[in-house]
Amino acid sequence: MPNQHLNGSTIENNQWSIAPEAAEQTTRLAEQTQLQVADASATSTLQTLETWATAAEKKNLLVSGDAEVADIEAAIGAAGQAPEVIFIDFPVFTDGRGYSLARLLKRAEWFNGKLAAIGDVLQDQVYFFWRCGFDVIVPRHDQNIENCQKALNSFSHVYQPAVNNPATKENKALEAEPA
Amino acid sequence: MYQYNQVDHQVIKERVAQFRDQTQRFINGELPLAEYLPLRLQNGLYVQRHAPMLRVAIPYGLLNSAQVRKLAHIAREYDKGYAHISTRQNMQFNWPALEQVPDILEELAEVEMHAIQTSGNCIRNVTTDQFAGVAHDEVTDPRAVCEMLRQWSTFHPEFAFLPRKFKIAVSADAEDRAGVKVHDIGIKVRRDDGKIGYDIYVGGGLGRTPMIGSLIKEKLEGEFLLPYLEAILRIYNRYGRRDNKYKARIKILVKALTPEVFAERVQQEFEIIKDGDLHTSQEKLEYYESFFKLLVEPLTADTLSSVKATLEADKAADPAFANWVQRNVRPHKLDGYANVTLSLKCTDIPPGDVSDDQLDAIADLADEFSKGQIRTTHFQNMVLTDVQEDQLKALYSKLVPLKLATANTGYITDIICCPGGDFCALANAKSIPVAADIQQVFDDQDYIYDLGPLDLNISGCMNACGHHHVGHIGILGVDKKGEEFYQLSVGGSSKDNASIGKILGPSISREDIAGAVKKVIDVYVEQRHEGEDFLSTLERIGTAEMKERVYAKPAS
Ligand code: SF4
Repeated sequence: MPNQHLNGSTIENNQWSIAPEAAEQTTRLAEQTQLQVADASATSTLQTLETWATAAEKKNLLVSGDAEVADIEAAIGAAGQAPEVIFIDFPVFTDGRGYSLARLLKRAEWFNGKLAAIGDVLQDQVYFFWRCGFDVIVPRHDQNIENCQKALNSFSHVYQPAVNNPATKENKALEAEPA
Repeated sequence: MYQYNQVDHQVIKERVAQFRDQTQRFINGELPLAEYLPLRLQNGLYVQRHAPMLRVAIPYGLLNSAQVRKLAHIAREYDKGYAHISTRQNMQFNWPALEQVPDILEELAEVEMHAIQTSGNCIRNVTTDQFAGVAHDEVTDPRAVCEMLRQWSTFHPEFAFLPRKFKIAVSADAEDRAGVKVHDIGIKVRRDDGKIGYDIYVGGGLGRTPMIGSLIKEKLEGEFLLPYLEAILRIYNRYGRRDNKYKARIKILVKALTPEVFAERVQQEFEIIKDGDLHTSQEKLEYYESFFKLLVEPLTADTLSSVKATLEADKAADPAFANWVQRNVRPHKLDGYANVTLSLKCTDIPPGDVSDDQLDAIADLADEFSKGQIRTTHFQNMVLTDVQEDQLKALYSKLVPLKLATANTGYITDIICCPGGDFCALANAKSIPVAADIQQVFDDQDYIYDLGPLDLNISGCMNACGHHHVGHIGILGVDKKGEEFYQLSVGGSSKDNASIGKILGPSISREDIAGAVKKVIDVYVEQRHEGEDFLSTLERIGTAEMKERVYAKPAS
């Protein structure tokens, strides 16, 4: 599969490397995704909360789904620089904590960068990621990127407000058929 | 009832198309089993002992006759001619072929039905009182809120992968027929000085660690219901345990944090989102309410007295009919009307099973007698509402040949029973034959009436789909070195006085379990004071004598 991700609805090439080497999380991500640890050809690197303070480049922050918002804020505050993208790690697709973390980060005043989903990221979850406010979706290595792109349009309407909402069903119903 | 608009129809179609694609990818080998599994579960599809099982959602147990005819058709064309009503008011088909399931879903979509979120670690079908909207003892019709919750929870993008399944019940009636204290979230509707408010219980549930829910919010206003529930779910999704499936329900989190701390965390989140997008305007609340109007008009005084007179004359002329009215007919909000339970608990058919022909007949009866509407109940029966009282006799006469007039609603033979070892892959033991044995032991109608209302619930394993913990008498199937045994408990209740039954002693063999129930009942009959019900007697005398009787060594 090509080394690509979705940025919004656009297919783009991955340009990231993962740091640090030999950490459990990054080793797993290197297996799950097309990204590699300490990839010399990459133009940018994902740093973890632990490496953030000392990282030379502070663009991409990688966090676990169970990370506390306050801890992320503290680490960023200490380093004096907010990331451009926060990558939320989904170690297995059935671990839904990252969706709620995304909602919390989306509304945090101190962060107005992008959110990315990474890890066990599957076509059938793409729609949920998008609705919860993920701007960037980095599918697992075996996923078909075009199918992921199509999945962004799984439904024409939704039943509840989240972050990204096509027409919400309820409002539409109220407009169209006043009670 | 709620009616789909064009948008709902479109979304359901899109869902069927999505699932058809997922199933095709699975069949083609492009989608691994482990990844297909949660997808099919969120469409109500299990893999059972013999075949897949498809669980169709019946939102808060409300159906129209066209839907019931469609269910009959599905039972006939895709299954073996019957369906099963679950304890969460849903309908289950035990024998569909996997590759036909997308077709079934497409057929269901034609009548505004689906199987969305009837399984999986997501928010499940919302349940309520089977007499919602027509009950004589409710503070308001809870169905508008149920529908609002149904829509909010449908494909909720944040809560599709919760630590574990999540069940919500709403009740607005005096006795709590929905069992709000044994659900992950229970919503008890109240009215104070004319104002509707919602008490929120959290962390109740059955299963391996049965618990009674804790009250964490009182008199919440309707406009804040969705933000408050979203706050609860967000806290649970973030902090519920994911390392152990048996400790993953919200009740474990609530207990670990304590209800007070849990409530505080929810409150903090609620404060942030309460006036946000989920805040529900009066206009929106009324929009939901607009779908749930009474289907019948008050009768004039003249009509009312003639209706009453006819009913009395019918009862006088036919004692069997009079008995059925006494047992299976419940009062309606409006005088002159009644709500009728169709018992699916006649002895030779597994509890909750209903055949294709019965379903077709029920649909016709609903058109004739109950404004085309039908309910399913968590006691695994069906209900026809809004029947004018002078029509009861005509209805009864048609129910008898259909075997739907067993006059046992609420009595010991009105057994709640999960599919158990005959169908369910998770079962430790069979449950249906145990129900049949017990129904046989208690085959004397006058005797069962004399015992008074009694809930007897059977589950085939710890998952407690048969709600055994909250039966006055509960039976749980256990596996003892490969043999089927049964644990007997007494004193449970799902009603307002909710409690978890106490296990009487060591598990009992299949041959002996019905006899053991009889012994428990014997002790009750001997010990009860005049007019005292089973739970009250039990509370007074304790379990010692029942224990002694059940476990007495036969005299040699
Ligand atoms: S209680 Fe157990 S045996 Fe019965 S239906 Fe549920 S999982 Fe199956």
